[in-house]
Amino acid sequence: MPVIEQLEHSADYYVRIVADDAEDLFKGGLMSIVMYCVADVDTLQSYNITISEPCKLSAESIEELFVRFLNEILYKMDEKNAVFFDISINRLTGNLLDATIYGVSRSTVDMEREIKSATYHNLAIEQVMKKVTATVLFDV
Amino acid sequence: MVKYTAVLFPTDFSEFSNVALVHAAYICRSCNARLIVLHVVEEVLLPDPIEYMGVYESINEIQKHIEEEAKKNLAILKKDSRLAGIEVSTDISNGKPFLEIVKYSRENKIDLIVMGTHGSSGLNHVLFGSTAEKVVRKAPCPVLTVKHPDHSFSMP
Repeated sequence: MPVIEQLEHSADYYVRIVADDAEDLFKGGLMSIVMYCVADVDTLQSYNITISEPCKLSAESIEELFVRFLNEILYKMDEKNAVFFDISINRLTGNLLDATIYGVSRSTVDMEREIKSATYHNLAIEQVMKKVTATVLFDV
Repeated sequence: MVKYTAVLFPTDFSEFSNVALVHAAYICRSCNARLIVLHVVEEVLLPDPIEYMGVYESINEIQKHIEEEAKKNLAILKKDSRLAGIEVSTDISNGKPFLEIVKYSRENKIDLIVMGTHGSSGLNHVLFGSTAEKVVRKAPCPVLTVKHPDHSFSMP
């Protein structure tokens, strides 16, 4: 289970995600978006999933893959007018992701705020002890 | 080496938006790329559809009328002398402009989007129109935004 901590930032949404492994990190990335956008995040797990979307991405590095993944989630939220809060990962390597994301229509959720995009600014993904840690800045 | 084969030029037919046309044409000519001119018809949102039904026959008819006008404008644009010698196609989609532009780019393997920084609203006090800003953030390809020469940014 990833741990998400919001870090000090004057204008944007800056988070640190501490995860057990790379898959857990991507789940944490998804959760960090949900935590910012949805007013009552705890209620989401009681929703019946009504929307699922494939999410297949490739990139040159794990950092690029992670940012592309976060921006893909944000795009799909707009495209499908949905909130995605769960993910199943079929395959994840250092430069490839094959997953399915799950969610519900935005109209059924109390949306609080919007994220414009995930950025490369201050981005870091590293292995610390037996954990994978990432810091990522979202433009809001 | 960068090679552009399909360039997208989204337009709302405004003076602000069409200022990017010459840049798109120049790139297409230089790279022998085809140009796709896209117009997005925004959904007609009325505060009280039932009340407005009395004024207009139906929302669908308004939408149809807007689409017909858009087709005429696209046909005129396609014959624009500035596009001479370029393979040009046109398309219309319906929805939110930024989303449709990004979606179109993803689905049609667009290499480059060339668009105006502002659309028909042309708000002088904002550096970047909201559609252009969102397209830049979410597009799968590079985006060239072009400012109207007379457009200056003044601090609010």
